[in-house]
Amino acid sequence: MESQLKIVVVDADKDRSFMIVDGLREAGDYHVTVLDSVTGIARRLKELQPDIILIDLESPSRDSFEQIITATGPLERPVAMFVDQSDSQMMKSAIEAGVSAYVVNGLRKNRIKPVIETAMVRFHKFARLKAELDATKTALSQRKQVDRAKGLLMKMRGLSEEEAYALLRKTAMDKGMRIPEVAQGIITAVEVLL
Amino acid sequence: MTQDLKLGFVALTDAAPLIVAKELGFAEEEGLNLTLVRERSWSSIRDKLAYGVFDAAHMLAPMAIAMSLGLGPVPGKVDVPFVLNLNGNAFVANADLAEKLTAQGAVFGDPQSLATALRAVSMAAPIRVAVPFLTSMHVAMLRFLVTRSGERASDIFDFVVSPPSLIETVLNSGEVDAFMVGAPWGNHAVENGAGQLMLTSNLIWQGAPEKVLALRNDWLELNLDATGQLIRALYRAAEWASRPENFTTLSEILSRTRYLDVHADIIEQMVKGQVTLDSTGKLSAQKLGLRFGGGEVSFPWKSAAVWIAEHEAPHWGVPRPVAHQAARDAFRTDIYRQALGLLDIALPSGSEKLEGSLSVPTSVPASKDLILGPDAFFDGSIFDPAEKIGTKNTTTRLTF
Repeated sequence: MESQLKIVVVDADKDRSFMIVDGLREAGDYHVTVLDSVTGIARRLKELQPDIILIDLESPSRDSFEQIITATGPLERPVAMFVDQSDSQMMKSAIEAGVSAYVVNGLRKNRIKPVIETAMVRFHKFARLKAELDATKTALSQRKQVDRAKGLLMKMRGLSEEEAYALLRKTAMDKGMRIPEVAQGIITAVEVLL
Repeated sequence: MTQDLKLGFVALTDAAPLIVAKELGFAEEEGLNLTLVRERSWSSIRDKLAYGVFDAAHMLAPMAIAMSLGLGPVPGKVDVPFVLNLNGNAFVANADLAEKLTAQGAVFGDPQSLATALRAVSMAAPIRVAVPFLTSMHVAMLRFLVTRSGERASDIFDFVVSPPSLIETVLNSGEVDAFMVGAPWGNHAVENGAGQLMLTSNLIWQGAPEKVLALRNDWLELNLDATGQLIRALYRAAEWASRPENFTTLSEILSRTRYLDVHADIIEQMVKGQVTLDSTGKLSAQKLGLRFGGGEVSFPWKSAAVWIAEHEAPHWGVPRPVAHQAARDAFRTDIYRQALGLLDIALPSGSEKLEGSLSVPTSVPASKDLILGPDAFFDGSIFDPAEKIGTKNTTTRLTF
């Protein structure tokens, strides 16, 4: 029986690292540790002696992590990224998903692949959730602005709610703008002028 | 037919030729549609180029040579057919170190005095210096500065990797004593009172190639037309960026959110070569030395690549001759000539030169008028690449 793989996830985003850890626990019997900052990482890696280190590719501190991981000292065995060149399509997909993986030398490919694939799936899922959340937030704030602009038009021009909305829509069409942009313009103008 | 190319860059002033090529239509004129992707780390640039996410990238000159040597966690031979700029890095010390260095006789603008002071101060403990990456000119220039009399660079400097945009935070936190960083981040930190400017990299080597255009070797060989188009677009862009009358426009373009996202005034100072010494805004008479340009800057001299290999190979754990050969092979003067031969511009008669031999701008043998330099080293040394021959050396060396 093979020994339990030790995985370290370096990610400052707590929500995402939760999702990755969850995914890895479902996928197999792994020993997973999450580290969230550069501080003290060399000592922690020395203690943990991980087989695989997963890092958010887009982290601004990635160069710092890499210096620490690849420097002689923290890990007894040298590390390389990913598995081997034969599977470059998988590596490209992982990079595009935002996953970078450092693997200690000598680890067999069939043990690494499921880990990287799980991390990729979770990164994608997280990115999707985040995009949905951002879109929802934007939609909500735009709706608020449109409501505010409508209110201002009703008050200042003595319009009904329907008339105010019709005016916003007509202005947007005439000026080639989006309704939330017109609303924002009205709010800014009123704030500046009054 | 328009070809789409995806390029990675890091938010630095020296990404200018790529950004200008896109924004001012030089790429479009050549039939290229460039997509520029900003990356937050050099490792990401390297990995995305190596695995084909990017077709080309803005890259640290030594990183391209190290990649070609198979160093680092990602394998892949990389070619450099164009140099984006010379110099532009600044060595900034925190108040404590600046005081110690000054007490040891360090004077801004005098590299010899700084080298002596650095050696003296490091007797107590190595000086902790933040740099954006280890295989960089930042590291190579500092090592060269202090090891001219047989000293070991590792006794003098303890390098810590930190991203350029966070380097100011790291200096403020006391984790390091100094940093070496490219424009505009050095000026940014000095203006904000995080440190004092001690030296600019051009004072160490005026001809130092800083960032280069890097392409995967296999991609380049399969896309010679697109490579040529890209080089011609970058040549025109770099030439445009080098003209003083364009500095304000250049800074305005670079300052945009999707590029550097830094105030245009700070970028413009650096582009003009004005150096702020401390937070009182005192300006130095010394020019910063970040240079963009056509033939006088962008030619990928094999001799400059060999210089990097010669000085960095021992730190990379690679035999010098192996590094020399990889460096010579990576700097593609043939591709540069092929691409620009179609234009009516000056091409030098050789592909190697005696580095450090030009103390003033000098007219050199070329297909038409070409003025090079200065490319002098701070200690007046001359680097002859012919003495550092790899397994094959078929290029012509220019002597002046």
